[in-house]
Amino acid sequence: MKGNLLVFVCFLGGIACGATGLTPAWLHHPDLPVVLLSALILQVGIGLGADDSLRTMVRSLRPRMFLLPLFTIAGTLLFAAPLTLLPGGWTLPQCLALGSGFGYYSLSSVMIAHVGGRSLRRGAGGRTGHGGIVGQRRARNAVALLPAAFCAVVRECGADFGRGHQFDGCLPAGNCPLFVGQHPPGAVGHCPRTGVGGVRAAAHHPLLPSVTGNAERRCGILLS
Amino acid sequence: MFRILILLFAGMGLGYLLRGRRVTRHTAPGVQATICILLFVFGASIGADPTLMERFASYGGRAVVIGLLTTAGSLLAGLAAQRLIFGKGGRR
Repeated sequence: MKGNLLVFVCFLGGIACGATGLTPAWLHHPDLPVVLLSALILQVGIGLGADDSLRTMVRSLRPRMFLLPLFTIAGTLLFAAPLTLLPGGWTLPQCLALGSGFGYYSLSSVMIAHVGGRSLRRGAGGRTGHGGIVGQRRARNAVALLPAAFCAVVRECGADFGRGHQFDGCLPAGNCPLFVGQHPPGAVGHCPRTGVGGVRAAAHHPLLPSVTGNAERRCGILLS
Repeated sequence: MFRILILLFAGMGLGYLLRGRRVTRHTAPGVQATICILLFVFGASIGADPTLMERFASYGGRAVVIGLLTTAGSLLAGLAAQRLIFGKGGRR
């Protein structure tokens, strides 16, 4: 919780500094988030590789745990669909893309900057900019991180749900680029749910290589 | 995407080689610090965008609705999954 608050404060501090013009120009270099993300992923990888319990955790996974992320994907998208009723005239694919953030900061926002951001810049009729998407994801993340909700999940699911919870964080990665690839420029898309420290974000990739790869190609087609 | 994957696996290999060493204990605070910097940079990019800042209330309102709805959907589906798949209490 303390870490999450710190991250949120950093984000707000960034907004304040950006709005008041206190930030140096190099801070807005487009490659900077990618460099930071690379450093983050490398550290996450080191942490995973050095973790003695990784092998035990992988062995303890059960096939039915795959159903948990599928359920949460379905639930999230189901509740994202009514967003079409909001003023602004979003289409269903756009709403599903917006709703499929599945989680957390770090990895996802940088990928949005690369995938969604370019398409947004291309889309003359885009309703929102990159910053808007990131802002919306921040709110999504902030709500998702409400401690009460988190505690409720932990309490309801019990300790045995822990591994399933981790697993749940890994698999929903696939649908973000799918939606990015399906809607026209100007719409938005989201990227994988990530865990605290980005661990789960990193862990999702080996689990859905084909889906993600296909989606990446589709994004490439869209953006080319 | 592939660069991220490569970095991840390279990091995992490095971590495996360095497991038990003192340096691997510092990855968690390093990750936290990197995320903080990353979020600061993102915040700065948003703050420096005057168009976005002008519409901040509008975007913020939508964002809250989106966040609440999708989080509720995720939570409810998670609870449903717990009951249907894992059994009551998640102990099955």
